[in-house]
Amino acid sequence: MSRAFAPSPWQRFRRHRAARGALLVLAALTLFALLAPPLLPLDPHSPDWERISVPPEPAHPFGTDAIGRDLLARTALGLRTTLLVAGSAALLALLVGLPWGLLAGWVGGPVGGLMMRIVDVLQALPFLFLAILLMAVFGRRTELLFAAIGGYVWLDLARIVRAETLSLREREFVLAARALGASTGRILVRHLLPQLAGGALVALGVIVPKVILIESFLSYLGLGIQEPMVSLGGLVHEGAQDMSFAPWALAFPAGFLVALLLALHFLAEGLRDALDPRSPA
Amino acid sequence: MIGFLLRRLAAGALTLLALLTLSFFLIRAAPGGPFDAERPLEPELRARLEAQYRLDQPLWRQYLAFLADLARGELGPSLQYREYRVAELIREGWPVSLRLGSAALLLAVAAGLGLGVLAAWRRDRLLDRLLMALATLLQALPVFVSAPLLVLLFALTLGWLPAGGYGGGALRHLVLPVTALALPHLAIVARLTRTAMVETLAAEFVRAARARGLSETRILLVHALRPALVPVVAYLGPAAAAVLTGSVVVEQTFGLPGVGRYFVQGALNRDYTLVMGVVLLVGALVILLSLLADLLAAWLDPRIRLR
Repeated sequence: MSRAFAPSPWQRFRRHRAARGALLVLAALTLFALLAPPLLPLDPHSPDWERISVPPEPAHPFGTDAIGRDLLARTALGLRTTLLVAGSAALLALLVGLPWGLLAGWVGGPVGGLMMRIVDVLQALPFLFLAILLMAVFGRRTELLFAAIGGYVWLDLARIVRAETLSLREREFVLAARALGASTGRILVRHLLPQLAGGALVALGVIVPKVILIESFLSYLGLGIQEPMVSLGGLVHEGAQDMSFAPWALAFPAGFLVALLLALHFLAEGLRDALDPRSPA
Repeated sequence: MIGFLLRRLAAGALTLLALLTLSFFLIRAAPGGPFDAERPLEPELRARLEAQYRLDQPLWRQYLAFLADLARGELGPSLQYREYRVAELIREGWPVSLRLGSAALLLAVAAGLGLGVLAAWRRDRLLDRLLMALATLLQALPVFVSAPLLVLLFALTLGWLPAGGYGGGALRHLVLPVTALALPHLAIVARLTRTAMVETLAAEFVRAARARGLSETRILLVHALRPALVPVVAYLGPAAAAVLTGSVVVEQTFGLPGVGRYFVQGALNRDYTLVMGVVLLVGALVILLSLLADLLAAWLDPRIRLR
């Protein structure tokens, strides 16, 4: 097939209906997280002692929790924290995993092999257990949580980037660039990096939901983000304790968390179909 | 084969050692110690306790002593429940976790395989679509969301099952925790089975079986299922590890006396020896199970070479 007739990745992505819907849901969730607290006259922190654990009503559309805090505001706050953690950990994974995989693939030989052995060993560790230990021991510091999660999820990315680099570096365009006198740094940054972007994006589509799961898992155990900050996992934890008399305190945060995870799942599927047409749908 | 086993076991032992070393220094680097949680001890008593548990020695000495104890299979006394040894606590909690985890894995594999075969058989029909949509939803439902939701529905609203407690291991106490633990893996197994079955159903040897006039049931369950099991078995290693960690949440939510609970509480209480005991148990299990999954996959599909 001639190149002109092959649809571009963007066209393929737009044809993916579920992914398009997921993108809309994600945009709506982000807007909600960013705009709900400043636009609505609701406060996630101050308790209203008159309205403790009330079911959804006009003044509190999601109801209130066991000490009378508005759950819509708290859900928005939790969602914002969750998105922030996911974004920063994904960024950290990108900053470490991309160069690591690129170098390991480019250098190859014993050095590249050693770099990948390090990844193998780290990946064999039961990470969630170490994370529980880390958070229980060092008292739930948010930056530590970012570092721990980011320090784990870059492994997947490094592995994928290395595999692609290994095949890319043998291609003619690299030889051509070298023949034209391009430096190694220029080949890596200007010629290889753009080719790797697709694979890295697909990998991120898998990494981000993983980060969200880990963070909410730790917050649910009471080991993640700490008051007055709160994440969706922490809200699910609070809601689960009061669910016998206030099921809405569980339902809204849990619903938002599941909606977020589902949207990310379909987005990742769309990205994979668009950027990696060889993989089975 | 023997070489493969030896290499994998050696690599596993190294990983386990790395894990134990990391955990050892991590938990000791934490602020606070095992004797800080209670009301302040008299200095003399405290010094005696620390000497008794070797906590007054330099870190590297403690580490070497830990390794020496480990080589003799000795985990030492718990620092929190001082009248118990760590091995005793684990022996007490382990059957609970094992029962929970193996029941959940069994449920996930049995039901997941069944539903996956069903979906592949009715490929692209309504049943297939419904099952796969359900699988997608369940996959996005973390254990810590599904566990409280199950309690809310079946225990608090309908009152069919108890909301928590172990009840001496009675079946009605295990239904909800096992289901919560199994659901995401059930969904993944169903999806893996469906994908692989659809692929094998299109293969030459299945067409040959059809041409020989074999029944559809026999083709589905004998010819197509066996190669389709390979990805499922490959998933079992990671799944077993995830079930082990998931059981931390489930044990906490349902108040079950398993080892997962010891782990979180042990870390919070700085019960150094108890935490190391659980790390050793879980680390060894994760490594052994992933080896087992690889061996099983090679046995199912002779094309897989063990390296």
